[in-house]
Amino acid sequence: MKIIIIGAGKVGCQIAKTLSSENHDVILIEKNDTIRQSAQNNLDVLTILGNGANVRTLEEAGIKQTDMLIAVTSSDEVNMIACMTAKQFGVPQKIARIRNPEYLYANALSRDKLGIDLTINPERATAKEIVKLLKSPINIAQVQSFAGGKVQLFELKVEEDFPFINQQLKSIIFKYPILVAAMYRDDKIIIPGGEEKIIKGDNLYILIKKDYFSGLNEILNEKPLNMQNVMILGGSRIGIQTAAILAKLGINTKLIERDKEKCEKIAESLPRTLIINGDGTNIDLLKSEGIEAIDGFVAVTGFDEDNLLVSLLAKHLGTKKVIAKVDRINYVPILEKIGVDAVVNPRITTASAILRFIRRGKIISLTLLKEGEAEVIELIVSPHSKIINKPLKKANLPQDTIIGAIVRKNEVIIPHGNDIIQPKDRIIIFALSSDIKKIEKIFDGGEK
Amino acid sequence: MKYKIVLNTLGSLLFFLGLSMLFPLLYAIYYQEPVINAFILSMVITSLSGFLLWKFFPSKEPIGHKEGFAIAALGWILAAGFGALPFLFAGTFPSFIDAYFESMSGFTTTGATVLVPIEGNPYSILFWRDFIQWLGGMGIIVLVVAILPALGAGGMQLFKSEVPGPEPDRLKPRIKETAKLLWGVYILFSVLQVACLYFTGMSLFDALTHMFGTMPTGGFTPRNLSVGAYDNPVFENIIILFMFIAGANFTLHYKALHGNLKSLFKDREFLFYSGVILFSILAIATELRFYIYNSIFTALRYASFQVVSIATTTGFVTADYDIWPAFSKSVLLILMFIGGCAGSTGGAIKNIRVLLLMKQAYREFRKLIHPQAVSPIRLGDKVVSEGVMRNITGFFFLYIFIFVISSFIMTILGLDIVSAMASVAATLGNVGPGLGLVGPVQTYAFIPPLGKIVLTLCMLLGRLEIYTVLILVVPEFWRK
Repeated sequence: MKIIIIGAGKVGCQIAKTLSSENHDVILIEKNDTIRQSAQNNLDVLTILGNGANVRTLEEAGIKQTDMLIAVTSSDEVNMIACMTAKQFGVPQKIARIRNPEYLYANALSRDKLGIDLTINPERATAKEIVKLLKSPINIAQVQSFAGGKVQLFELKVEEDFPFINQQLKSIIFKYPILVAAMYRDDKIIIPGGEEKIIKGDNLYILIKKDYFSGLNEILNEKPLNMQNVMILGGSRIGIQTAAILAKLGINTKLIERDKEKCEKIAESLPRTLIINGDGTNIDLLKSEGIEAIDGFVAVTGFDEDNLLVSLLAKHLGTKKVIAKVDRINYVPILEKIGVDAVVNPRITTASAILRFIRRGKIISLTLLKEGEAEVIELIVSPHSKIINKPLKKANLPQDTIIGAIVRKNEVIIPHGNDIIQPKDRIIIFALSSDIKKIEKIFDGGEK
Repeated sequence: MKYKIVLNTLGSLLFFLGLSMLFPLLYAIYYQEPVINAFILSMVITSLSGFLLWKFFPSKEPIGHKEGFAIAALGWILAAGFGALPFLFAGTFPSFIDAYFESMSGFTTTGATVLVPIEGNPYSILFWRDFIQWLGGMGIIVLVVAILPALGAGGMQLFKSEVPGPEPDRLKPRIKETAKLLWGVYILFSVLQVACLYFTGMSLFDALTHMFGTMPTGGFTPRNLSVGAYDNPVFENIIILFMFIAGANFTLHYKALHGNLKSLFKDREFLFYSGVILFSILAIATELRFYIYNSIFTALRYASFQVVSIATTTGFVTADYDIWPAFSKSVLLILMFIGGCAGSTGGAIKNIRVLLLMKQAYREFRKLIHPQAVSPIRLGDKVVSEGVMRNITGFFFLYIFIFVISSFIMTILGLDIVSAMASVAATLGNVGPGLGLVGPVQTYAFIPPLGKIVLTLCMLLGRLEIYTVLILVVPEFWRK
């Protein structure tokens, strides 16, 4: 497939990298030459210097033969114009990142007219993710739903008091059937075998049936977390949307923002949230607002450093669950090591959403793990696939690939080597990003 | 520096090089030559060392820019070394230095020879000697990029460190596809040329070996008297045409083959290249008409062959231009410095650099008149970035600097000034024959061993455009 991506920012590069590793022809348009050159040196794509909304530039990129256009510049307007232009050239699929909700509510600019097939709002997606994390019964770093919510994937950090520490996976007996599908250790994703031991500092990716999710705390011998009071630092778009969702759920929320005018605006739109005007990095203010008594703390200012420091402080003062937003992807591994419970990254969230859209059809759902090194995908097995009616251990899957769950009608199976896949099963697979093409081939049986 | 991935990639390079020895081996078997064993032995040694390197240094690390330089430079040094093995085992040369010189001269498509006499050697040895030019022409590293799976962005680092010219063009978004297309165009022209020569009466072996000398702008031939041995204007014209093609940018050829002929005649470098060649032919032919030949046609025939041969840095010979008058010789000497186009198989400084340097010099003049003027350098309607200009100025300085130092060394070793300078210009520019003692009817065999080492290094520096090789001797490059 030939794909044009406009904007070589963080999201643009992440998507370009994933797509080019899957043998798509990617052309990246960027208007800043320094950024373009750094993208050219790090990615196997063609880069073009220019404005992505300019018809000439798009023609130079060969828009007539393009199958998909992804507009992820920092400007909503440029993204929209680029998609409109692409519509004129007959590009089948157009994706735009649009952050400003005002554009999305106006019906006059309907998607058909603009020619946008998918709009992505990273901030709203991130806010939803934060709420999901806050609502989980134990302290987890990431949570995702698969198979229409029947299966949940979560990421768990192994601390010293983890009940199964230093045990081999095959010898652990959990109270409910769960599967440790992947581990993140020393900055690498491992797809573990039965002999692998769980050690302190690992991050485990665990699959569990939805019914058991709320009882997760029992597996780990912990009391359930009960979120009643949440404090949000930063009146950014993510902060406001998180507060709005939390308010609907009836959770007491305080939002701290430094800018007075911004506070007044937020207060108008969020009647049920307590808005505090003040410097959120000031300990005295946090203490007087009762940081010691809250259950959840969310740091979503525009500064990674502030988010990091204040969330560490909150953890230190006894907050049960601390979530920080970080824009720079390289910070993520360090952050989780030093004690922040969960890190959200709008860039990975956006890239996941776009990839999910691109692969829709065969693949239903997709999540990027860590820096996009590994993926979790959900797909329906084609009746022509060679893998069906064979025990899994003879399926010849690429190394480092694991089938995490099989969903057959309403039944969820956590499979073993002797289980057999049937046609039309939904399966959830953990794999390294570089193997995705091979896996798609195995499961679709050469179907176009 | 990630040593593992460097050694791993070098391993696959050597493995493929070993496999390519199959072609001369077939010739040796066909003619039942006694050098069969030499080829089998070289093939086993090369492929096995490649395989072991690949096997014992498994690595999937990404290739960064440092690794890219290291793989390209070391790859060429090793390829020339292993490529010399058949000559060594067959006893073609008295010493390893001679064998290495000849091998490097082949791979870098220089065409400077130390083999006397050429005729009488086994066919398979002559075939290998010419075939390595063809491998080196479009580039062994580019070949590796085209063959190896999934180098990803690392492929670009490798590609950049070998493809000549300031900023390599990409034909396709994926570098592997670009490398494949370039080799495809190269193979297409190669087949065409062999067909042309064969159907106008050359034997298949001669047609093949001369194509191996032409398309990579190499210059080795299996004949003592080079192309002059045939004294056949038809062959000469075919070879002129293909030398001219080989000296131009292959991405332009690809576009032209896809029906975009305009891009060829819109390209400033191609116009400059054609202009320089046309002007030189006319200038030399005029002088030759008055001093050497009685007919303007004879003058044109030899002038055009020699000018195209030298300007594209091929180095085929149909006339002893060393006895031509001084003006003609000096034009040829200057052509040795200008060379081919970016993205071609030709060597030397390249037309685009010369063109841009001239534009820059002109800009400095204008700055004297309008000190406040902001005038970017343009090529066609595109502005050339200051970064590229800086790179070109630096390259030009280094090229001249290396030329001067090496010329000094050659004079210390006893060569006269003209021969010394011509020998360096001809090897650094990957031309082959020079003037004087290393002139068109002479060889490099008489040069002392130290001189051969210096010239071998010049060939490598010229082919990889200096930076890629010189960076290896900077200590900072190797530090972690």
